[in-house]
Amino acid sequence: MKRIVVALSLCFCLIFSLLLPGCGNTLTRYQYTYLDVFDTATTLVVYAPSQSRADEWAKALHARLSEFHWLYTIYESEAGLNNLKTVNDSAGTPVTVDEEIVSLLKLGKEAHTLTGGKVNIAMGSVLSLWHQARTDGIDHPETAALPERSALQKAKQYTDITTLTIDETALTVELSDPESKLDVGAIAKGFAAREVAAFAKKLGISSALISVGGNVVAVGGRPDNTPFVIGIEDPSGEQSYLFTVKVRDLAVVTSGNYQRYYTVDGVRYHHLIDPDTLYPAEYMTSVSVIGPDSGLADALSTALFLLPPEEGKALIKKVAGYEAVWILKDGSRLYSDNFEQYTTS
Amino acid sequence: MNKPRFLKKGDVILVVAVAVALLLFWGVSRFLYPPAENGVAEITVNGKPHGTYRLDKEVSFTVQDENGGYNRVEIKNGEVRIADADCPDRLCVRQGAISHKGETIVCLPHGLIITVCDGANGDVDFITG
Ligand SMILES: [Zn+2]
Repeated sequence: MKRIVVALSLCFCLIFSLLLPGCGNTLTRYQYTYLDVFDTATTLVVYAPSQSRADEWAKALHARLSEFHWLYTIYESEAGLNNLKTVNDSAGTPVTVDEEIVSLLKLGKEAHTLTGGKVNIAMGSVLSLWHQARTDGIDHPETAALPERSALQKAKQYTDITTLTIDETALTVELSDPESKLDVGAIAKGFAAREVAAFAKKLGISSALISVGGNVVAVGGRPDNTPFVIGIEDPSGEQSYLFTVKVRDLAVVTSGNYQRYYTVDGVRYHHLIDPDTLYPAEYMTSVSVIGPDSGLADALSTALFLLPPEEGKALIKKVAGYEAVWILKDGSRLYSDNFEQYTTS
Repeated sequence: MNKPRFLKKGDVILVVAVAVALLLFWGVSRFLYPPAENGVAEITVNGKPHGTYRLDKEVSFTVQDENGGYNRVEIKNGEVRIADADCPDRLCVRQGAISHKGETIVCLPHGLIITVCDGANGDVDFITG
């Protein structure tokens, strides 16, 4: 009798100790939102074994994002740091910069070639006019105005990407034309999200979502090993999302005309400016790109937004591993050839 | 005098063992069936969908089968249960309330199955745009 009891309890203990690590591994979802980086809302979803671990992870990821913010901003200076504002202000002289700036600007040059100039990080002179008009228009809606057409056309003369030289070994960058200005808005958020996702893996995070503006990067999948399910927002606001995509270790980047805009005489003008027309592109409501590198996906989503859908389809076809979905103004959708592998409904 | 004391000790061990086993069972079932987010109850009768009901809305209704049998379904406090039925075994009624993703209530005689699933938003990890 005694032996049976002891044996029985030993059994339970054994089963218990075998299952305990399984239970200990149960990950809980923790979510954090920040408003202080990249002039947009950043959300981190991390699956962690405890609140304290989640807080610690989120703090580290946010700190890393903040570093990228300060490196890539063209509006603010940071003491002791050569950032892109420094590069813009020092046109004509080489500036010593961090590796992260060199990598980003290299991506910018590659994206320019790939997209036939639709993504142009040397378009700061044009974009700064729109930025100023939009900021003024939002602050003072009654006097909201478009930038002067002549000013835009004059600024267009200083958007030649070849005026940007990058020395990878010396880690210096230079704008040769004093009138040229960098604006990395089309690629910086995606690039930073990619780097922060890689950093998350280094920290030991196996399951997380990093969202910077319209850029979402999935770190792994859900803790139960199924892919993350990402809803693509309904621009009309009627539903919370239009449809869902399933992703694991992939980026989903959306460019839409509702993300950042201002209103002049009752007409909405969004932030995605076509480098050829110098005005917001009006081919669609939004376009989302799925692919492994959120920096490239960010560049592609910008380019696709600025191209007629048929031309965009031809472009995305050339880039292996990337798929896109277009939401047209009548609400209908277009998909790239192999997009359906990600759709769930 | 020795014997009862020995039994007492054994009882304690047994009680602890059973308690551990129960705790374990509870833990494992919680792990296997996490609470559904915006949960819904999907009801099928003989494999055909009968309806999907939100668990956050209190409601009570009767599902009739082809042979005139019935199951009265009750949704309350985020849980769904079969409050009454005229099936011979009434196992479905005895099963009580369920609320976790993947849990089911089955009424074999009536061919009725209730499954708790994630609702429209519950299955989405993040919305972007
Ligand atoms: Zn029954």
